[in-house]
Amino acid sequence: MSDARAAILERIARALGDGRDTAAPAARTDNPPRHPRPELGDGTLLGVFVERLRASGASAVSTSESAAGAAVAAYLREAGVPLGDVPAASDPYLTRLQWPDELVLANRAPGPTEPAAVTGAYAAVAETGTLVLASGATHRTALNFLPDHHVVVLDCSRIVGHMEEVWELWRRERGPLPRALNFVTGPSRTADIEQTIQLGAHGPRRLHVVLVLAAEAPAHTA
Amino acid sequence: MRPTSRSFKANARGALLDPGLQKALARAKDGFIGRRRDAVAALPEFESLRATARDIKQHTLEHLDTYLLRFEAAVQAAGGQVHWARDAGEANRIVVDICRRAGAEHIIKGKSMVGEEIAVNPALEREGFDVVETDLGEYIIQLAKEPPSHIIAPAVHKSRSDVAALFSEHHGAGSESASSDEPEVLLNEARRVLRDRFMAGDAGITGANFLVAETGSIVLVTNEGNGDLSSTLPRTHIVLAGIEKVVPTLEDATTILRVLARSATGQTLTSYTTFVTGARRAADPDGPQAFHVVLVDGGRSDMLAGEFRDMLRCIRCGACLNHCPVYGAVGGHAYGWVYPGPMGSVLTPLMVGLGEAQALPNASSLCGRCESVCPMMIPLPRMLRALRERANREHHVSWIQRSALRAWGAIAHRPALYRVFASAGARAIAALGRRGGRLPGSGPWTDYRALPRPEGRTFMAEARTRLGNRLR
Repeated sequence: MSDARAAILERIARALGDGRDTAAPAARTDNPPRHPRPELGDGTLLGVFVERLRASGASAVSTSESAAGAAVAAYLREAGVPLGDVPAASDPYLTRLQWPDELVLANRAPGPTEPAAVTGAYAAVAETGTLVLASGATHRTALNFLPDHHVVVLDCSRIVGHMEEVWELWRRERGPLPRALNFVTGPSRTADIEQTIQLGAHGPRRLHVVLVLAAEAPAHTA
Repeated sequence: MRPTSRSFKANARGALLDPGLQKALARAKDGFIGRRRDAVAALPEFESLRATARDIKQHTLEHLDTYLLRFEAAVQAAGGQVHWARDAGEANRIVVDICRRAGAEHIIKGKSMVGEEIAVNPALEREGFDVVETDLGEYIIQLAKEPPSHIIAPAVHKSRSDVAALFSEHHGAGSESASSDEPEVLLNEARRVLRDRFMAGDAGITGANFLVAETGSIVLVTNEGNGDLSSTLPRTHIVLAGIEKVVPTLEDATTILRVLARSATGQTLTSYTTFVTGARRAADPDGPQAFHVVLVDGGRSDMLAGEFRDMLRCIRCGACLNHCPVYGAVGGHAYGWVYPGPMGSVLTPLMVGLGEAQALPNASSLCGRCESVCPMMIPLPRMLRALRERANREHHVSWIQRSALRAWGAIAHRPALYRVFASAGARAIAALGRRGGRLPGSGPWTDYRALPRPEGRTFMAEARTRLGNRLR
């Protein structure tokens, strides 16, 4: 439909007229503008993040790196999820954690009625209590959406203030965007039946975050 | 879908007499208004972010062709394809063609207002494809064979018992909805039924809340996760988007996201805000192998040219519907097409023709709440007035109305004449008011409210008496 393309572009050009600053768009996409960002209020990034994460309907527990695997297993056991074959992302951060023998993480696609999945996160945003999940060789996107319980192990040094910092981080560390970058804020929800808010519409019914604090910080239940 | 906007008055009368609808509208209105108010109150920067959001979109529209071309190049660089469609027919042919080439049979759909606008579902069904809506609200109205009545809550007019009746009819014997209309039971049943459809989907169709020129990304803003399943599981992902959806950069999209979710549902960010950039990469273990974006004009380039350019800033949040006293009284179906409320009263005449939808710009008291809550500061009342003027100019209103307006105009332009008519009018109304406050011929209007009782003199006459010579 190249006819349509030319016709639409021609109509737009005619509507906009002459005398435009033709350099402005390229200048903007090459050097994105810095817009005002909301104040985050008092407290540490971690504190703000956890407060807003909870407000979104997710649950969270904080732990040390050495206890993170056990914390995942404890949550799944409590939720009644069989531990023998849980689909998980295979990113290096997850694989180098210590996992209890009973919990077997499988690098496989989740099934249609998958009870749970475990993933890491690329980053997290304090402003909205949001997890940032990036597709890639070690992270299937379906893990974020098909299971009933989604457990995310978050390295708390990856918490940033605002979404803009995720863009800055990604451009610096990775370059072009991945196929899917999911900003996840709480479990799946709907209000389509009589405006009643219900969790677990099509995505996970529960979102649980295991917050891994820096090695020197004392572990405690957040 | 064929517009029934011509019969707005009859539609509205029916809506006002429908007790179920009135209950649903009251419930929705309180929820939406309260949630938005709390979210806005919690963000002191909201007003300044609105201004920034408006400026971003205004700048983008001033360079729309350049940004669309940049978007197209970036999509191609990420392994996707961009298609251009002048109108609904062209857009549907492109979608049918993509699905056919992909060997698709089952199509899963995320909510898309452009999809409603071009009526993509019937177009696909006519060609033999099996199409299922996966947003819970859209799924409900698909079963009911109805158009959406709200742009972000398509089934807002349905009660839980309506939903239970639809589900038990379509989900077969033994479905739990036959014996329960608890929202939780209904949701779980829909989740189970649609999960099978997701797994069987060959192609997924979604809309897009933004297109990012910098990266070629499309942004999906959802709460249920159905849009993400539709853009992750099938072999092919097709995105339908109006040409006005583009923004320059990720930073620009981020700022508008801050006002979008707050204005729509009162959330700071929806559960899922996803940036999809192109097709599956070589090393990716999942995701569609093909990624298509269909850019739809459908009257938008016309709006860009004239006094309705501001309307292209609309991000489809629904705040103007939620705060509109007319929408709140008659609901979305009365408007007769896919876009209801104040934004629909501007868009529908511009997209389907003023002759078809002349009633809609008049379905407003011009109270201005829509403009005051619009996150993109769109001057909706000004545009509704402009459409009324155009309807009059283009003779879409009756000869009697036009003559009356012409007569009014002639009088209002001549101060001396105006004073004569005004003082006669004031005396007449005062006399009628003294006789019990009923105005003959006004129908029920003065049955329930008393006619005002002016003193019988006009302001000008009163001023002349009091100020005497000081008034020239």
